[in-house]
Amino acid sequence: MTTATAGDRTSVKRRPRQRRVPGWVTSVIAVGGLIALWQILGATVFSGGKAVPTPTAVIRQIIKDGWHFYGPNLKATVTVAVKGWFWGNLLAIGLAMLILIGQVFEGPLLQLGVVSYCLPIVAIGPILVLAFRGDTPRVVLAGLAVFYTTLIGMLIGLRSADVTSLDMVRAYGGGPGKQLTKVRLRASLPSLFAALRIAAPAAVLGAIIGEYLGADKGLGVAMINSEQALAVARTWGIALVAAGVAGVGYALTALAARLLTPWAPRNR
Amino acid sequence: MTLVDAGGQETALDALAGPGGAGGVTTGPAGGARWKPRRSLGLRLLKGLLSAIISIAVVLLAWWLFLEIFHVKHFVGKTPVDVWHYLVTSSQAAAHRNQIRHESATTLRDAGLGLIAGTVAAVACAVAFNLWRPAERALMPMAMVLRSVPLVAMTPLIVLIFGRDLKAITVIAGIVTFFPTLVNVTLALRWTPRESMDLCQAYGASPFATLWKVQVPNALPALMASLRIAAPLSLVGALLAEWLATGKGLGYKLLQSGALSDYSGLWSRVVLVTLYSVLLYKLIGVVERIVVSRFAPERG
Repeated sequence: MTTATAGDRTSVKRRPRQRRVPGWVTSVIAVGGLIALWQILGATVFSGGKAVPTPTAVIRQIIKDGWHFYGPNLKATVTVAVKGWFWGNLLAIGLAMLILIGQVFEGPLLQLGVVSYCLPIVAIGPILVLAFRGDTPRVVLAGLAVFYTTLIGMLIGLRSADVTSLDMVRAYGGGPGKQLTKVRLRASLPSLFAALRIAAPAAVLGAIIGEYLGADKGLGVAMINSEQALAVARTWGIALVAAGVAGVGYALTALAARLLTPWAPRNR
Repeated sequence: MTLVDAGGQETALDALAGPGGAGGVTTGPAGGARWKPRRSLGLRLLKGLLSAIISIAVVLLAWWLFLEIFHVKHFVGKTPVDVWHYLVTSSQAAAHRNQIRHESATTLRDAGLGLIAGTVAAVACAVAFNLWRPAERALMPMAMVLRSVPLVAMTPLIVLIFGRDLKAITVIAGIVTFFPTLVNVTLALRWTPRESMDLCQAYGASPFATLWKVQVPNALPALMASLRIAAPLSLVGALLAEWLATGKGLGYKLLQSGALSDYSGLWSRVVLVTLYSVLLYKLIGVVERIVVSRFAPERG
């Protein structure tokens, strides 16, 4: 249903044809403008308070801290995030297929999923630390953060398979299993990748919050330490790097989605 | 799955998680909405109650299984019975309840303030974007990027900037709500059906009138869906901020009771805070269902 909308309001007014500047140019200009504004404000308005350094100061601090500082922390956080992402998604995909097979599981499993989504990560963190050791608590938190969205995404994807194709498989003598492998799995990919795109930053979030609750290395630990030491520029730097890691995860998933599902509508 | 077009598949996933959770995932294989016969209110309430009881039972089972499978020592791993004892039957139960009630009030107030502030700000910006398209075209990609960034993880940074008081908590809880709501509501405002916009234009309505009478009601379901998705996360943000910054409320007391080996207290607080989160999610889901049935019945 792609009826158009308020967005086309201008086309009704019959403006003379202008050369359309591509969308990304305006956004690059806007972002550049905001960064420049930040630089100016940081140098003038916020310079006394010292809570908001200029972008250049932040970049300089990042370079000064360098790989020596960021390397081990990045490795710790990214390892945990990737592990959690992997296991959380695996469990979610498996459970989605289970629900497809046995409709009766749907009610309880989805309710459990809602609870897992609403379970405040900060609250069960301490409990996980009591029950597990090593980096398992953090991996579980990262996995928990991705579980529900991927479950729903995969379930919707599996169910969105084209009826005609399913009927064709059945007409040729295939059962639900063949339907699954030949039709449903591929049909589920766009929805699954939409969920996975959200999953990558969510796993980073779970990993970092897990670190707040008890770890010796990682971006979260580094951020708390530098916050308590009032090292402002460094805190900003770590936050930017963490955001960058999440962004890279998102971009990689989006790239994989575009490569593997070229037929899917390209929304952002 | 008519919502796939309404601004990206993320919105579709959010909305299709269904108001209230399990209810929504019933798209037929062809993706069309199924017509469900209207049941009586009493029967629906009974069904809701039954599903609530079943979910509580499932959660309790999962809790017990967790303790069993991972061999958690009883000293640190408390069962539902222990929590019940702590809150209801033990000799100091009343004192415990009182304390937790006080802490809960603080946390819920903090999270609530942030949620409301974030939503109001997001709606105001979305309306501004709608009235001034260049701003939208320039700033929306950035909002979409910031929506993907795990902002709750930036809590130490926000505490550094805004200090250790209510302001920081409101900002954290608010920021978590702000970006997703901004993106969803902006896109929903844009995707008002053509016929309605044409009708407004035919009657010579000003942009404000069009906005108020047509676009905003059309965007309300998306707004409620965003709110529902963001609520648990803003609660997490409030808890984290309480722990890192203010030292008051459930966030801090929860971790403190762990440190003091008051494990019954820890588990009780965890149970309660999860309960609040789920209740908030479901409650907003109920309001969302009402809004959808009123403003977008064809999508319900």
